[in-house]
Amino acid sequence: MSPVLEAKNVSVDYHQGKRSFRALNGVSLAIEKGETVALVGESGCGKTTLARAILGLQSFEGEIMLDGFRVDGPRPGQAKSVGVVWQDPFASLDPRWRIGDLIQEPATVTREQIDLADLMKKCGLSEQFAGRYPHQMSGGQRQRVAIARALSLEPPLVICDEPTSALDLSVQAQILNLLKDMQGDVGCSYLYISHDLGTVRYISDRIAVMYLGRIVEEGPTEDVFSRPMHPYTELLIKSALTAENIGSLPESEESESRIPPMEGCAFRPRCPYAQTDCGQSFPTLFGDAQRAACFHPLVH
Amino acid sequence: MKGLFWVGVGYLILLLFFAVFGPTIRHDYLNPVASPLQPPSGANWFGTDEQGRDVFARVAYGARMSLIVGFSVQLIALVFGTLVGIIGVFGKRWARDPLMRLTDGMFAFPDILLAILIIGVWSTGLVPVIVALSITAWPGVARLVKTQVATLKDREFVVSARALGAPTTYVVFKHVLPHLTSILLAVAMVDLAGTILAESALSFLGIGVTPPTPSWGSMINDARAYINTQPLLLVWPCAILSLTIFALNFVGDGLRAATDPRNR
Repeated sequence: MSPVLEAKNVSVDYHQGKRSFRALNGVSLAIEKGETVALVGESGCGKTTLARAILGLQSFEGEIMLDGFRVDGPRPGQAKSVGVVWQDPFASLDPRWRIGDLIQEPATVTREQIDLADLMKKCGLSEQFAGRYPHQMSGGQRQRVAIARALSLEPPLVICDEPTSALDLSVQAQILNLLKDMQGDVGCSYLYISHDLGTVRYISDRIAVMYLGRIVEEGPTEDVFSRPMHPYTELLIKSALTAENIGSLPESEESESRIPPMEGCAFRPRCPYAQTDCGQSFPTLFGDAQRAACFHPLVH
Repeated sequence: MKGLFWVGVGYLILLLFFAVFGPTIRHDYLNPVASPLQPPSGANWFGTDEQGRDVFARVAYGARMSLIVGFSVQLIALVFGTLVGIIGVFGKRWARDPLMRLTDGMFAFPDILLAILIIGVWSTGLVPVIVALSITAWPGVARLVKTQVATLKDREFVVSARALGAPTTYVVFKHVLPHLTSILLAVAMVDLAGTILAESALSFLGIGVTPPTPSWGSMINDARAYINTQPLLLVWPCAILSLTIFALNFVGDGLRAATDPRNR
């Protein structure tokens, strides 16, 4: 069976006057039916750019196959192939629309019929919310609306772009469980974009780690968490905020340059294990189930 | 601020009744009804002009002309300017770039001179005045709509609608334009004042609405000759024109303040 999503060698350049910035650099990623793949990495590494490319909102080089269609701009009726849960439900729901209309919009656009009351019930929304406006609801309820909207047509792929990062901690778990429940119900795959490793570990089957526009490590979630191969993955996992490590985290990472070196491994300037050969060419993904783009992968 | 807004609204409602019923309620606005240059009296509330016509009826008809011209011009400018502004953001390059250059180029012409030029090569009368003033009014609307739409385009709820694969026209009409109505209404009110003033200026110069159809501008021009003998003849149209401009600005400012997100 062919994957729900297959991205091959996708690159995106942002142009600003004469200068250009490579936001995605030869990214390949496949998502099978019913699978949850997490895309992690620091802000600005290209996670959302990849999501926009999949949705046809961003022009790119390479090839993306979504639900059997070749992506080339937003396709009429693509709501049946892919749904999106955006980061901030307050921004992503039109403030002038009623909740019921917002949930039904994918169906309206594609001329489909859905059972609104049933869908709202499954998403933990009382039917009386249908006549309300987004600003009359709490953040968690709004994200439930966004999930109902994304899943209303039962698309084979749902992109979740940091769906919990705008929510209170107490609500995050509810939203994650709702996503899991709905996946069981609908059988869809998730592309779960996040920098929050805790939620990623909870929800994903596989994980892809991005650094400066490239996927540097990919593999089953538990394997990657317990035995990271790429030094950047190790750094990410170590930097996850816990009560124990909060005083000892590395500082001033943010001031590091976003412009990767011209040659060699992009992570080299920050890598604690960098050696001279790291600067000569760029490493490609290497390995079987768990793969890393590193000349000197960590051995456990 | 709020008080002035309601004063403006009240005045404009009165003006509307004045424009609808005033020209014929007591005297006809076109034919002499008494001896010329009479001061205000019980029979002729605003007096009579140099031909013995009732000034009240003529000022009222001037209001009708001003409102017809003003609303027609604003409607045309809103529709056309909004269309151009939307194409300026969502349009294909071949449509977008020439239209935006044209819009920018239009700002280089002084409005009233351009209107005079158009009327000069065409003709005087109601329709040429409306067309000429519409041509000078749409670029402002287009520029406003373009900047507003450009920011709306990247708002997440618009991106979210585009991600559904919805056609651009759907996204524009369902998710972009509804967010523009209040600011466009506010700007149209203030622009309406400018249009009414411009119509009066054209009539004053004798290239507006064709006499003997009264207009505030032409009445002001005619009254200049009698400024020493019957100054009230000049006062009536000037006063009502000024009050109308004030009222429209109050209403426009009030609407703008109400739509400003900082006041929510």
